Amino acid sequence: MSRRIVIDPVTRIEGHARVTIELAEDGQVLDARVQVAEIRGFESICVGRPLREMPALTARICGICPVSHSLAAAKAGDLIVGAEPPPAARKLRHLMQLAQLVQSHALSFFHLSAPDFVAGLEGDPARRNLLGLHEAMPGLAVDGVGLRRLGQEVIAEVGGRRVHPAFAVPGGVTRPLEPSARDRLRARLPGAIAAAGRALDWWKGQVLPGRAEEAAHCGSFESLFMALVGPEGELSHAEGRLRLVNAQGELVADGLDPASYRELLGEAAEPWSYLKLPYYRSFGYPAGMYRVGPLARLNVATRCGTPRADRELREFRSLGRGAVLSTFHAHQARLVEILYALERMEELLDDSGILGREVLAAPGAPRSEGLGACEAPRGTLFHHYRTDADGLVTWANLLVASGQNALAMNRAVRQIAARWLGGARLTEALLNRVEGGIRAFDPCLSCSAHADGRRWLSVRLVAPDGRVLDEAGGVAG
Amino acid sequence: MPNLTVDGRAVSVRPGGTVLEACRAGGAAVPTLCQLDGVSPGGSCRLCLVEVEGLPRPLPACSTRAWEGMEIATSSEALRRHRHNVVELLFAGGHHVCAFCPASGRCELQALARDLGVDHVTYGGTRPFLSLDASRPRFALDPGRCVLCTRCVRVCAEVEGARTLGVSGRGWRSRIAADGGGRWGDSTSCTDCGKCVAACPTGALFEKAVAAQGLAHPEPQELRGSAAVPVPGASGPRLRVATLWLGGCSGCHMSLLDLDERLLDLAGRMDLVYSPLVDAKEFPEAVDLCLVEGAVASEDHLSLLRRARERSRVLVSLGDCAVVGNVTAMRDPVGGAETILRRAFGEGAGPAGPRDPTLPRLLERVRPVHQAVEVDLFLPGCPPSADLIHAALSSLLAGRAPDLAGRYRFG
Repeated sequence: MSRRIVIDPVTRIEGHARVTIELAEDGQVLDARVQVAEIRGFESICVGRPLREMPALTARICGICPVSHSLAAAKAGDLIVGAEPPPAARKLRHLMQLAQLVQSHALSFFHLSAPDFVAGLEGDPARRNLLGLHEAMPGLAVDGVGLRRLGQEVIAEVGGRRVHPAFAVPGGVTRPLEPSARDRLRARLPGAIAAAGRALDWWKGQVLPGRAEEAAHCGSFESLFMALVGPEGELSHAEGRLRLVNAQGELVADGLDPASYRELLGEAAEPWSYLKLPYYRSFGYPAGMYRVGPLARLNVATRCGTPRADRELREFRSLGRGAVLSTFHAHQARLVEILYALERMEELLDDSGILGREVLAAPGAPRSEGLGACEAPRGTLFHHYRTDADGLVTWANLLVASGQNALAMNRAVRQIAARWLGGARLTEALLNRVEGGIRAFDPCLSCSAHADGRRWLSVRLVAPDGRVLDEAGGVAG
Repeated sequence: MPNLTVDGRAVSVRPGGTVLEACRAGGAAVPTLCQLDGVSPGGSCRLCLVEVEGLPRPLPACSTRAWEGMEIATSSEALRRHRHNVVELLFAGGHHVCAFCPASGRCELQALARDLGVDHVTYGGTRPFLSLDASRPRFALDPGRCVLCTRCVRVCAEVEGARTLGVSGRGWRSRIAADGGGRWGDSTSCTDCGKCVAACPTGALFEKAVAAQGLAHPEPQELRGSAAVPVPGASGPRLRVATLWLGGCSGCHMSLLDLDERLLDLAGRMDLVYSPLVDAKEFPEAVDLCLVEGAVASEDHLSLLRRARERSRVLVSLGDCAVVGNVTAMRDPVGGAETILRRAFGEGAGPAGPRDPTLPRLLERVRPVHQAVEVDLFLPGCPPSADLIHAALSSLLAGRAPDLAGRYRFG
């Protein structure tokens, strides 16, 4: 008689999800899956609406990374309306992406995950949150809140408001950056860089040393990694071409046009799952399984492209032989990316070109189809639209980062469950370990709950003996 | 030259002048929507109704000529209620999603809602999706955002002289139509002058090239309105606060986090006992204040919300999805849960759709929170600003009913 454990809801993640774990009579973990019980149907509601509304409408997919959704939609729109954004607009779009990266990563690291490392994964649940963190380590909490705030304030200053700014539009952005705003923002970056450095020192000095066992059982398995990179292989969040590396860190493919994502990426259907599992088509399924996000970006990039972040990247790479495989290290990858983003924002703001007054190009020869891709905080994001002659959307396909990571996340949850739950008496603390692993993936369930999301709602992994479990009839607890 | 009084003040207007002119001369703020200076009065929206001493019913100020000795009252409680209802019905009668509307920030309907204290819409129901007509090269018409004020019809006829636009159909099927029906793009009388777009009080008529750019306009600060809310008597020395995330994007929770350091300050006066931000699996008993983000879209949402209502003294509907359904409710006009599931799973290989019995069933119709449980306070916005949330929270934490004095806005 197998037993089913349900963790519902998984807390301190971005959205509502639950985990179902199947245990055999002897306590061995047979199966684990993360379920998202939400679908919002964006691919349906976009149809029939003007292309120009897509940046503002699809921003509502996610309150955490609205800037990325509106950027991807605007880039698809650039192609459809035939307008190449002026240089200043491209720089401003980049600045906004970086600001959002800082606020989103800060949220994941400080607000949601850090309490596990301060109060302890097995600490008092009532203290395991931002407010508890503030009592235990006020400096760290204030740094975290400050970094998130900086990201949000750059977004508000440049884009008009903190959440859901209407900024990137087909052909460019809605307004130029004023020199006074540039000066205000520029002055705050050194303090933020110092805060990011303190967090990295804390992580590497106080947290990481005792966590080898956790790291070894948190998504530590071979897979491909995919991200957009710049012309010299550097980190690139607003534009770029796709690159894939394997678990040994070797280049698998490079310079791929994201517009060909449908040829590059296949979606496998399994009889035991409603999930369509994305994979790199040339490698077939399941060898072509890949991960995206901060861990993938640091595995894929030749270098970050800014001095301090590059030093951190060299240190980060020593965590693995070849690619860094454990998603546990995504926490550190987020801090490195925060540091990178802040340094890069300094460079952008020091470039007088960012103050250019021409930020919106006139439409040219229209097309009926366009794809926009960017690196959202959680990984590569694709927005693909087709329009009719009147400029109304006839078809939309949105491929979000968390959906691409779903298979890896479910494997990781099973790995954690097998390591920590097998045969043990189940406690809240042990279950929080499972949740902690999910937090390392930083899944965004808002993003995943647009139409595609439901495809990975009930991922189910076969037991080691190959047995496929029946989903029905279980009882909680 | 008629002499009359407006709210007790003596005014005079030109011969043939309207009651609305008299009201303006008397400094009375009478709201209007279908009225547009320079064209003939429409008299259709009924927002400018005023009371005239000796008459049994109110009269529309815009289309009534002033007469000698009139005694006009513009701001009775009955008129206030009436205007509130008109705006609420206009919202209920269309697809007014301010979140991504090109007119947001300069929309007269949005401003009326704010000024008249319309912070939610009582009436339920789903209206079918109305197709946009974007067949004109520069301009488009979204009938879902149209309030049938006919300002466009009047400027087209009386100012441009083209007489392209008119109203076709009757009752709830009435629509603005070009040349009596058919595609606007096929109209031979339209001169593409754009006056209709300039005259439109909402985002129904818009310039295609700037569809979503109006959103970046700065948010208005001068606002009015008030809210009567039961003040939570704290069940302990610290207020027990919960937050729920139903069908929404988490933007309202992000706005809550945008309190930044102020959130850490509030921590001394409250405990966050249930929220996506803390570790609690069960909605606890004796919650003083519960903030709800998102619309009610699944059976799970409904049962969680009902439990939260039973266990919370004050329940706040936070953000446009919770307050009016917003983007989350846009699945309903396009066919509801069934349509979006078919779109997500019906194409390509693999199973037809998720039939996992442990997944919550989607509701046939997405509902705002107050159509599922009783709501004590509404905070509209997509999302509501951190300042608005802070004003509400600090006032509730201090044991006072919040005076949000028109600081909210849809979208």
